[in-house]
Amino acid sequence: MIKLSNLSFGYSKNALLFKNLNLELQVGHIYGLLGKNGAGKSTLLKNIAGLVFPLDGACQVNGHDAAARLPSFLQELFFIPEEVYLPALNARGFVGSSGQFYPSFDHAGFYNMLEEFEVPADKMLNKLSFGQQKKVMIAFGLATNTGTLIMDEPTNGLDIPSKVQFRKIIAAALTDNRCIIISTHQVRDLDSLIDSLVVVHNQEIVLNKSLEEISEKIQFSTAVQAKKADILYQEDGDFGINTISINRAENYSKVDMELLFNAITNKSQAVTSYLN
Amino acid sequence: MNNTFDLQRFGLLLSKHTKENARTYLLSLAVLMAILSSLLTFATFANDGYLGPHVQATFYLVFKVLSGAMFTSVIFSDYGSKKKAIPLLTLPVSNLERYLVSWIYSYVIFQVLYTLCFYFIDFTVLSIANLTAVQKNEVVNIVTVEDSKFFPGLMIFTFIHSIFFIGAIFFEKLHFIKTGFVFFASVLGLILLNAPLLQIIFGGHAEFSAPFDSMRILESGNTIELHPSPATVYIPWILIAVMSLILWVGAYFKLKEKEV
Repeated sequence: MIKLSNLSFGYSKNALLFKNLNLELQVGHIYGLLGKNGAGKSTLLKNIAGLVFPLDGACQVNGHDAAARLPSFLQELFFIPEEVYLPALNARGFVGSSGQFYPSFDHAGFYNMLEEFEVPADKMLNKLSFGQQKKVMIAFGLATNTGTLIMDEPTNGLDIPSKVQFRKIIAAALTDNRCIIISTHQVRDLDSLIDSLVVVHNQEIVLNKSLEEISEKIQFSTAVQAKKADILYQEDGDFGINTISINRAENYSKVDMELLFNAITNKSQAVTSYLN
Repeated sequence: MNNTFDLQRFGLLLSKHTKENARTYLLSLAVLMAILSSLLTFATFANDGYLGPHVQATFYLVFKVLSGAMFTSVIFSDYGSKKKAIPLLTLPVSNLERYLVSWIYSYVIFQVLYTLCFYFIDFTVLSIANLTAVQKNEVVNIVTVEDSKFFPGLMIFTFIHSIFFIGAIFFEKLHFIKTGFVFFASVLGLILLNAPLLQIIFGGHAEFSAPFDSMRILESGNTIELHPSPATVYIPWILIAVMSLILWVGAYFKLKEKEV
């Protein structure tokens, strides 16, 4: 479990990026972390991975203080950054030099994923294209079988077929003992993949709910289908006006993450207040 | 699990570091050998094919300090690049293990490899020179050479290493230049401050003098000269050793607190 308690962080004390942040993330879920550019998604992930230290408060991952960066904590966490770096080794050499640090590393799984991603295992990794390097890193991260897997904009640089493969592979990698956090600004890439949504906005976590909880409370429909009095947010779409309204009839509707994200990050407070 | 130091984990990290950096290190070593052989050859043949043991020892020391400072200054350079620092800092090893790999490479392995290379080049150059030289050359023993500077040389290398080692983790870019600048600025500051400090301590008019050495004070028209007693001759070396230790420890804490 990941627990952030009253966490304040900023690159200087005068310009805080987060103030008294509280967040709990559980195993067995794939979290989608959304936020506008500069909202601090990557910084939040770095706090969880112990790559930056909070100015106040604490960040604990499975009982470990992330900032201490102890080996027992790190062997249960894998972080895939937006820009990856791979050494001048082939896949076999890379697994040989780095895989051994992770006690549950799945060698066969790694090579299977590389095959699925169509990445050559015998080529020097630093000579691969950016997208291919990213795929190697995703495959490696999944093969480590760590309890916490953090991915910062993993779909950047992936072509459309690879994004489909990515979704398939990630969905298959989720177990009851694993917590996967994916940060992105390309909301559609997370469609049919995540089960919980975390939104960072204005130095705060404004939403941390499962998609199930969200769809129980609100519904997504066109203006024609929605009851005018129940509409919390609306915006022009390609096929008319899209709305978010109160789900009084408890009808299930698929969560339109892009619309929800727009509703939360635009000045309208209605959706955020209603969901929380 | 030992979260501070585990020999097996340390071995794995040392091996990973070696595999991933072997190419760069070997290339750097080749460049160093090329420069060293050119200069030793030039010095030998410019002196009728003879290179005395003191000159050889000086070459050994000067190049060791210079190339050691350059190599040490980039030992943590990957931590200055966000892309490279993230996998390094999230690798399941302790900060002490990370630190020791860099320390062993820049202090121990460097000195061993440098010494081996120096002897190989020195032996080759002198053997060639001996084919025609009137006065035959002998390969220097840097430890036992007459008026040996081995111990002071080692201490100077240790001190310079510790300075560039902390500079390597403290600065994110241009490590060698920035560390060198800070070092020389500090030395200059120490020299300039020495006379005023002596004046405050002893009164009178203290003349300009180097730190940790003789001093002259002008008082009521009399010049008083104070020389360090033979017993205090070790003080600068002890100071250097203590300073080196402090800087090495400082580098560890800087690495521990490294953020990306």
